[in-house]
Amino acid sequence: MIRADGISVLAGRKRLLDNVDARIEPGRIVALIGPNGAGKSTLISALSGERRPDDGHVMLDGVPMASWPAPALARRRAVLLQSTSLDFAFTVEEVVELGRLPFAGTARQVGDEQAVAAACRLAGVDTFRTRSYQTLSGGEKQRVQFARALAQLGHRDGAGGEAHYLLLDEPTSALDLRHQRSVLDAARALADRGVGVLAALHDLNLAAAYADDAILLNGGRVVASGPADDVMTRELIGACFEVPVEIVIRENGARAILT
Amino acid sequence: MTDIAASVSGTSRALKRPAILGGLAVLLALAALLSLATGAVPIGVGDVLRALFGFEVDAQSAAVITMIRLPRMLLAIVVGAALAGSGAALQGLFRNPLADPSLIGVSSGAALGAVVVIVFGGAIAVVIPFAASPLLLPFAAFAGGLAATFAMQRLAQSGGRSATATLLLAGIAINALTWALTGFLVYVANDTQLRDFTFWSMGSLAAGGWQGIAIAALPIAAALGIIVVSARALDAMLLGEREAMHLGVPVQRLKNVVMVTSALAVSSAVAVSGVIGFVGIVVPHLVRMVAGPDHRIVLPGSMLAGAALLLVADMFARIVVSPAELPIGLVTSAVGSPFFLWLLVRRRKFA
Repeated sequence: MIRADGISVLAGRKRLLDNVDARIEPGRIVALIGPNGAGKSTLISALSGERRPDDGHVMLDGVPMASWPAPALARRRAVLLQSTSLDFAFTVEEVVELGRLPFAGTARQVGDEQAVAAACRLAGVDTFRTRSYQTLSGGEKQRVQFARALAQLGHRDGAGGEAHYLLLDEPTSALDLRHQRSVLDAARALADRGVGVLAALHDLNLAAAYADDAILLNGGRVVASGPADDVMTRELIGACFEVPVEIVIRENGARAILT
Repeated sequence: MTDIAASVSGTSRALKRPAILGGLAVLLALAALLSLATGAVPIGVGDVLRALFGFEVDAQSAAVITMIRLPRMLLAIVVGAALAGSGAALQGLFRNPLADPSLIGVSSGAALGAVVVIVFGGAIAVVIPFAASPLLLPFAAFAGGLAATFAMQRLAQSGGRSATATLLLAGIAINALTWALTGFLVYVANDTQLRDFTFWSMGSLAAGGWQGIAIAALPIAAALGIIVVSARALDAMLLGEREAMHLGVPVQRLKNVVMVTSALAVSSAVAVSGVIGFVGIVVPHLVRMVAGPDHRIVLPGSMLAGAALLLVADMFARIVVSPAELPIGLVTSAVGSPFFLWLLVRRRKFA
């Protein structure tokens, strides 16, 4: 489990995060929701070990993030950031292969090829594996970066019984409806295999459809967290986003959030 | 870059790697052989081979080859590999294909260090006896090059990424500053020092000789070796610093290592051959066009191709106004700057 206990992150005098608790558990998808500037990306950078909180602790399997050597950490968790620019003409495949970098020289390097192939399939980029990354559309690029993160988590190689984690910052921001669903379907499939997933999502309906749990952030504080249905209520969502909303339960039991 | 690269798949690129490196090695060997045969005194390729493998040739040819042409050829190889290899590494580090040691001020920083020693060397030697040693000049060049590299990194990067405009503007500023300081030194210099200075500013492989190789070869080989080992980490850096960090690359250490080794390679080259511009941008670019941006091939490929290119440029510099010769830095700049402009225009079209 990745857990953050009472973390605060400061930027000058401003508190980007204020006494935040969060956990990413194996086999579950947790949606990170909240208005712009709520601190979602900051929380992801703290949970991924990129940014050391000014207060509080982040631990992976009980070991403080700061104690994890960078390569060992990279073999346990993958991160997809909001935007990645690339000025060099790598092919799609070469970008995805970079996801295998943490395994160079380890026993799991032998799975590189299958992991890349499986990641490309799961992210739906295997039809243009040999194209130059620079010629892709924004949505295609986002899926390629998603595939790279999947490759970093590895193929079904058992992974020695250790849990793995996937942190996604707005993974669907540039995607059309079909690909929004296919990315989250892929996240679901990983969670079913025991991967712990955290995804910052702007689309509350996607969050409602896929998340087991949710963390609602506003102004750097956790407004509510727990089972997604308990967090995504009319009152809480309405208050945080300052927009009146209706929650509709559809025939199949899914919740839809209407403005 | 994109047109050619797009048609080549990643896997087939990986398979082509040994072929490309092998081809470049053959090219380099041919250029080296030709450069031994080229010069004021005509010596046939057959005689060159005989002399190289220890067979009897006439005394004059043997002397010309071992005393003049062989050290010059080796110097061209070492300097060309250093400039192109560190150019490729700096481009990866700055995530910008337009970073070149001479454009971003590393070379002129190193040259400034060298000129300080030329002008004040005598005075410094009085204060510190050690300073009289021939290592003072390369050391000063290294200090100047390293300072310029760190300044560039501070100035040009924001959010882990260097915008092309910022990079080039910061390069202009650093070049202007170093040239101003160098100009002041030239102003106070005497006639001999002035002649030396010309050598630094335009570049030449003529004066290095065996002593130049003794000074430059070891640091350049060590620096390039470390750079080659960093290939995959540099690939990850192309995605971005944060992305590289998430892929397990110790980013800060990598940056320090690449900056110090690139500065060491460039400064060692500058210490023995002066400022030779544009090799560091033209060569890696050509290699990327053929082989893609993977540093496992761009770095060694640029070193081989850079060595070959500098040999060819040096032959040209020796032949074109024979029996006199052109400063080689003029030749590389004359070829390199139009190429650079072409790159700029092309990028504007794509960006």
